[in-house]
Amino acid sequence: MFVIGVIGSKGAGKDTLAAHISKSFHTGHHSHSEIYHDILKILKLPESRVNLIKLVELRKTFGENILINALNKKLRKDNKEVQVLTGIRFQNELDNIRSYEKNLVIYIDAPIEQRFKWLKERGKYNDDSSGYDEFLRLETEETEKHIQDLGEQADYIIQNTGDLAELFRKTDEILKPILKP
Amino acid sequence: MESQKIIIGVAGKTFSGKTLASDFLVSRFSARHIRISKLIERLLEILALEDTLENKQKLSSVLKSIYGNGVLMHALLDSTEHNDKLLFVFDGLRNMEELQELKEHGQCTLIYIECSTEKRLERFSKQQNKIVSEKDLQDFDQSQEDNQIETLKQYSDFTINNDGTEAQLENELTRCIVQSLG
Repeated sequence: MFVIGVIGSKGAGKDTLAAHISKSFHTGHHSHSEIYHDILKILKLPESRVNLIKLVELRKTFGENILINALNKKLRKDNKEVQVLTGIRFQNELDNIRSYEKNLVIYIDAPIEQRFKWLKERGKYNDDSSGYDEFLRLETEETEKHIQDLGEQADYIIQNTGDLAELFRKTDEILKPILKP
Repeated sequence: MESQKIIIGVAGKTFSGKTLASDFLVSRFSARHIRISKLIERLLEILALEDTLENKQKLSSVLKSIYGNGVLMHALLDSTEHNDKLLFVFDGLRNMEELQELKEHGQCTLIYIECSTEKRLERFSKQQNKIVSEKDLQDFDQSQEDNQIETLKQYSDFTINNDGTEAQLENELTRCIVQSLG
């Protein structure tokens, strides 16, 4: 199995990129938080941010690899040659990707103001100062604050300027020789 | 006229015979069997955790601590909404909060299955394929957090003693259901 990790802060475009890779190269596509969503679905609880964050408690009870083990099980079950994994937020999640013999990590980056702008366009934040304050506060949360450090360990760093065609072109340039030699 | 769902809660310590009781109610009264433990088992599978008693308890505990004691019941009750059956047997209630969730949902009858320590020891030994002591049973009860289960007895609508035969148990259960539906 070839595992491609896509790291990116909120709103940087990692899910957009992952979806493109998955479509273009016919790969599997999973996010780390998917497991938490699966649990909330089974518990018939709203998949809200609050409920998702509460599940981080599982790491304290079962160890920090709980999410990784669950995800690896899902990947095995999928049985696809190439998998794209997004939502990498902790070092052990990156280490897990590196533990696969064939792996590659892409960091998608965008300036903080740009990310906030795109999130606003998606309706995630209000167009006032309280929205931006909230966004900045969330950037410092445990689940978000390590992303830049992790990004620095990536094999490729791609700047997302907002031009999707450009973003996809740069990504295809990297992946085509590797996935379709 | 909207049909009302009827919920039968079955509680009892392990080896009291509550699963047998639940199975009987399901087959005799065409009820849907809701095994509370099945929900935890499904979650363990998703989390790639081994299906052990310890993991079941840890998972159950942590979910209750973050979402409240009624979290499992809430999920199970939700599944009754989309089911045509009128009668549901909730097998394996463990505490007051779970009973409360059921009562808040609608008509609910709680049946508590009890039996003597001797009978439980007999069944425990059979399962373990060796003679177990009362101490073994006590340790097992503690690991099951059975102390909370016992408090349900005082809130039960019916308490059935299961020291007798299977036929006797079935007769008693039938009597309870007929009485509560009447």
